[in-house]
Order: sequence, then structure tokens, then C-alpha cells
Amino acid sequence: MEMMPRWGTVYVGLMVLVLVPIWAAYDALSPAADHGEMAVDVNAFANQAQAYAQEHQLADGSVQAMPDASVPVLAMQFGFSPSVLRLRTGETYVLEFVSRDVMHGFSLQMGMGSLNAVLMPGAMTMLEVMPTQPGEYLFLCNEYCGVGHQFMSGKVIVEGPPISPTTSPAQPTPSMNMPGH
Amino acid sequence: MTSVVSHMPATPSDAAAQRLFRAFLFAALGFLAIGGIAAFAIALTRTPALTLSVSPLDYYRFLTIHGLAMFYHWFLFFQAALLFLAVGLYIPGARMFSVGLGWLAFIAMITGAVAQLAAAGWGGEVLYTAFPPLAGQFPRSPLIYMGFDLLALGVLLLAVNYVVTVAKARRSGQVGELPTPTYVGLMWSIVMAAASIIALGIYTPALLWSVGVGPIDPMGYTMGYFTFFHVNHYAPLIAAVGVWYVLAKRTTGAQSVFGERFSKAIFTVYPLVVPPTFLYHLFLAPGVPAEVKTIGSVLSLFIGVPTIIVAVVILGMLEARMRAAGAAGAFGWLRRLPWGDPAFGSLAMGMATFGLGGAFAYALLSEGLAPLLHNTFVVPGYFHAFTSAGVSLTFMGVVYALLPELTGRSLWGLPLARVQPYLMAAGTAVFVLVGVAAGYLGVPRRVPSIAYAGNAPPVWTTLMNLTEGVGGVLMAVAGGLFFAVLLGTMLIGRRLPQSEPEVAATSESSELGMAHPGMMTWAAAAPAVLVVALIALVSIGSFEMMRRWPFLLR
Repeated sequence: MEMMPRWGTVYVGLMVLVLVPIWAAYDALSPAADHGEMAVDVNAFANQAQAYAQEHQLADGSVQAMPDASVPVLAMQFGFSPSVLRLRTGETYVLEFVSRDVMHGFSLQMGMGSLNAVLMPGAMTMLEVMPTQPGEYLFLCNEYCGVGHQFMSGKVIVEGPPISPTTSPAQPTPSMNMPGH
Repeated sequence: MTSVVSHMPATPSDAAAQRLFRAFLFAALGFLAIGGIAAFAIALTRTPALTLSVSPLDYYRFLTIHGLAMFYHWFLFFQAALLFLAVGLYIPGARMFSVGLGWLAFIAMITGAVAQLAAAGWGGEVLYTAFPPLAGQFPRSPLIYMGFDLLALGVLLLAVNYVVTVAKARRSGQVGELPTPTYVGLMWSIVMAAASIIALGIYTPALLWSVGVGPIDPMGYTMGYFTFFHVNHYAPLIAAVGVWYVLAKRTTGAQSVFGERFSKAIFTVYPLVVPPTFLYHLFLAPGVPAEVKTIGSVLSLFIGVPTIIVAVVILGMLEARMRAAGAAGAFGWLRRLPWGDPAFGSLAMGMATFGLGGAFAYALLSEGLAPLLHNTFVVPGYFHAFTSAGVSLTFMGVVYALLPELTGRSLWGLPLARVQPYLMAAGTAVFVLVGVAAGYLGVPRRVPSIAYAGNAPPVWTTLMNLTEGVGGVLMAVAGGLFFAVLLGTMLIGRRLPQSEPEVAATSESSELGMAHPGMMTWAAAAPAVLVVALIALVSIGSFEMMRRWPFLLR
């Protein structure tokens, strides 16, 4: 009785069963082919972020974010620019993050939990948020980015009256990058 | 009740296999020690009350060493050792397909591991993730990538060696239907061969990039990394669950209640449910379509099913055995179990802490909760239930069971060995429960200080003092006890007479009838039901928390 070929077949068969779905999924998911569409010109974005900060900067150095429009934030080793943002309750803001150098994280501290996002170099991460409670909210980088990682933080200052959230529960998945999607 | 050691030998009888087994086992224990010392250093660093001034680079050094030595080296080398047992103990007379391949694997793996640890301490402080482009800022990262390639190569060789050895034993009629442990080794080999191939596919380009040859795509690396990492991190789970099965039998004389075929069928499920669920590591990755993430989340729900079933089967085996030995009442069988046997204590606490980890695992594979949990302390908080307790305790239980025969000496420091699994479980429980709470309140992982210039919530300090200062330190102490017993046994344990392995067989074992499913009651399934209930509670609680955020996500 030829066990070897049968065993070999079963083994190879199981390996194929394991590897092929991974490969197919990976291939389908791989941004490599579409990288051109995803890529963000980091220098252009950095200029955009700087211009925005200058245009909307207040006397204390914080930057007043404009609602219903893009708010560009550049992440870099080891800080965010702008690092202090002012928002108003009840308004919707489209925060756009681009990392200038390495992978960073964005972790907004809200007391009861944190809102976390991943920032890839050269790609955009978009978070559309509406604050409902005034206060000062620490945000920090939570993706190891080098020796200064623990110092990489900023603040969101929310002003205005507290509002009760709309009836529909928060849609939890932030929509990510892909200009044009 | 002292240990009931089966009359089968505890180590492979084939001399060549025995040598390889010992090489992998002692290397594994060496890496466990290194990882444990690094863990202690991390615990001290991240306990705010201790205000130790450690340079950030030192912290990342400790963390890189800890992650590599524990999760890759200790686990891989120990599982390699288990492969030799999975054939050597259950197919007497089996000959290894290729001793040369075995040693080649060992040399590749130990070279890779040592290179990685050296790099981690000296210019390669990139954590075990080694993400580009950050890794490009560390001069020794090529050694990290090269180390992964060598480990992967070694594991692939071991997997091939194992499968061919088993196939040959079947072909030559040395074994009929495979015993369950041998079969588990086959499932492990399939999963790890797949993981190794994927690893070679990521780390080779990364290695080339890190020495200046060729480009790297950070997103491509990240996705490939999580695909490999995912498949790889289920191998220790499969191995540990297989070991539960063996330890349950060895420490209590329990027999399978549903038969070997049923057990083997459950283990066959692992290679099928594991690979498609890698998506749960990528819920926040830019560029992965939303629909794909949702599919990944749904597929991930199946991941816990085989483990829960095996846990119920093993508890049923234990219950049946204790009832056959005269235990009465709904939970009387629990009292009769040999809690004072270090190997059984390790099994029991390994299973219990696994259940604790399982309660939180499902929150982490829900796509909707990723923004709440990603890269917070919830991640290391929860996974230490699986790694340092669940899997490591189980593996340490194997060491306790084998130590007398391995060393020819009786176990030294039995009181320490008896307490050690429970101390490890207690420390882990504090680390996990408080750590997860800290993470839910926003404490980040992988950072030496959570002060953030005084802007961090004060409660963070309290929580991390408890998590690391109490939980982490207790875990390190428990690890120290384990090594005290190990070294004490090896150096000053009472020598055993050559002919008899240390056997303290109970008189009941020979009078037992066969356990059968009828002896199993709902009591065996109760812990599993509890875990499922906890899973539901944690998930619901997490979603409720997100609903109360002062920022609504559109």
C-alpha cells in the first residue's frame, strides 16, 4: 500500500488550501497596483498643512479648524503639525493625516476610551468627526516611531455647548485615504 | 496526589532524536530566561511609581528583546522539541527521516535567534514588528530581518522532516491510525510551513532593502507581516491545546471520552479556520476595502470554536476520570483533581488563563471595535493571558512532567513548583484585567512613559502601577520560581535509580473502567459557557462605550 503518495497528496492539498486563499486575498487587497492612486505628495501636503495652520492660527498658537472641510495635519518624528486644534461642538470636521516619515498613530483620548487610527507614510488617513462635548482632549502617537515616540502628542480643544448625540449610533469605521473614493 | 507518570518513556528513545530534542528544549528554556529578564526590566520601567530613569532607547531595547525571545524564540524552539516528542513518544521505533535536516534546522534557527537578540540590544531596537521605514533608521535591522529568514527556513525544514518521518512510519506499518498527539504535530507542520513560506516572502525583500538593495513598500510589508504573523501565532495555540490533551492524560490517567477520531477531527479544523482570518490585524489599515474588513470580521468569529470544543472535551475527560475514581456531586470531581501536581497545576492554570484571554479576544477581532482598541494597552493586556500564561504555563507543565526523566533526578523544590503555576496565573490575571481596563481608558502600548507632559489622566498612573508593578512583577517572580526549580533539579536534585522513572501510580488506575461520555455532565461545559458569556459581555460593553464617545465618527 503506497502511503507516501497519498500522504504527500493530502499534505500538499492542505497546504494549497491554506496558502491559496491567503495569496488570493492578499493579491486582491494589495495596494501595490493602485499605489499611484493612493499616494499623497508629502511635500505638497506639508505645505498645505503649514498654510492652513498659518491662516487659522490664533494668538495662543492653537489652530482654529474650519468645519465641513479638510483639516490637514502632518505627522512626523516627533510631533503633529498643527498640534493644538480648536473645534466646536455640533460641527463636522474632516481631519486628514499624512505621515511625513515613518508609521505613526493617532490616538485621541476621550476619557471613556480612545479613538485610534493608523497613519502610513505617504498615504492619507481621514477621520470625519463631530464633537459633542466641550473639553480638552489629549491626542498622542501610539505607533512606535523612534526614541521620541513618548513625546509625540497634541491637544484638541472643543468649545461650545454640549449637544446630545443624534439617534443613530456612531458609524465606527473611519474611512481611510484614497482621494477620489 | 503526586504525579501519575505513564509507563511510556518521557523522551524519544531514538538517540539521534533524543539529542535534537534536548538541543531544542534547552535552547528554548534559555530564550525563556532571556525573555523573562527583559520582561522584568520592562515591568520596572513601566511602573510609574518606581520612577526609574531608563532611557527610551533602553526601554525599546528591552521590549524588542522580550518580544523576539518570548514570542518567536521560546515558542518556536519549544514547539520544535514537541515535534520530537510527538513522534518519539507515540511511534516507538520510528526513525527520523533526516538527522542532518534536523541539525541544519537547529543551526539555522539558533543563528537567527542569536543574531536577532544581539541586534535588538545594539542598534536594532525596532520591536519584533520591525516596520519599515522606521527600521531603516536602525543600523542593525538587517540582522533582525535575516534572523526571521533563518528561523523561517529552520521551521520549514523541521516541518518537512516531521511530515516525512510520520509518513514513512505509516508506510512501514510501524503505526496504524495516528495517535492524536502525532496528528496534532501534522496540523502544526501544515500551519507553520505556510507561515514560514509567507515569512520568507516578506523578510527577504525587507532584508535586501535594509542593506540598500531594492525598494520597500511600507504598506505591502505591513500587510504581508500581519498575514505571516497571524498564521504563525496560532501554531503555539495548536501546540498548547495538543499538550493539554496529553497532560490531562498523563497527570490524571484520564482517557478520551469521545474517541481519537473526534479529537483529530477538531484539530483538523485549525488549519482551515486560521488562515482566512488574518484580516483582523488589518482593520485600520488604509487601503483595505471596507467590505473586505467586514468579511474578515465575520470569518474571525469561527476562530475560537475548535479551542472551545477541545476545552470542553478535556474537561469532560477529567470529569469522567474523577467520577470513575469515585468523585460525586456536580463539582466534586473538581476537588479530586491533582491540584498539587505541578504539571497538572500548569495544565489547569494554562486552560483557565486561556479562557480569560478568550473573553477579550473576540472584542479584538470585531472590526467595529478596532478604533477603540488598536494599539492601546488592551492588546498586550489581553494577549498575555494567551502567551505568558496560556501557552507558556502549558509548556512549563510539560517541562515539570519530563524533568525527572530528562535529568535523572527527582524534582527539587516541590513546594515552589506547586505554587508557581498559580502565582503565574494570579500575576497574569492582574496584568490582564487591569491592563485591559487601562487600555480601554486609552493607555497606549509600546511606550516607556505615559506622562505626556502632565496631560495624561491621573488614573493611568494607578492602573499601570497595578498592571506592571503588581501583575508584571508577580509574573516575573513566578518565572523565577520556575527556573529555580529547573536549576535546582538539574544541579542538586536527588538522583533517581537508573531503572525506574519517578512513578507514583495511584492504586485506582488499574481498577478503572473505561471512561465514557455518559460520565460527563454539564459541569464540564460550564467553564466554556462562562467564557462565551464573558465574550458577549465584553463585546456589548465595548460597543456601548463607543456610543458614549464625545466625538461621533461619521
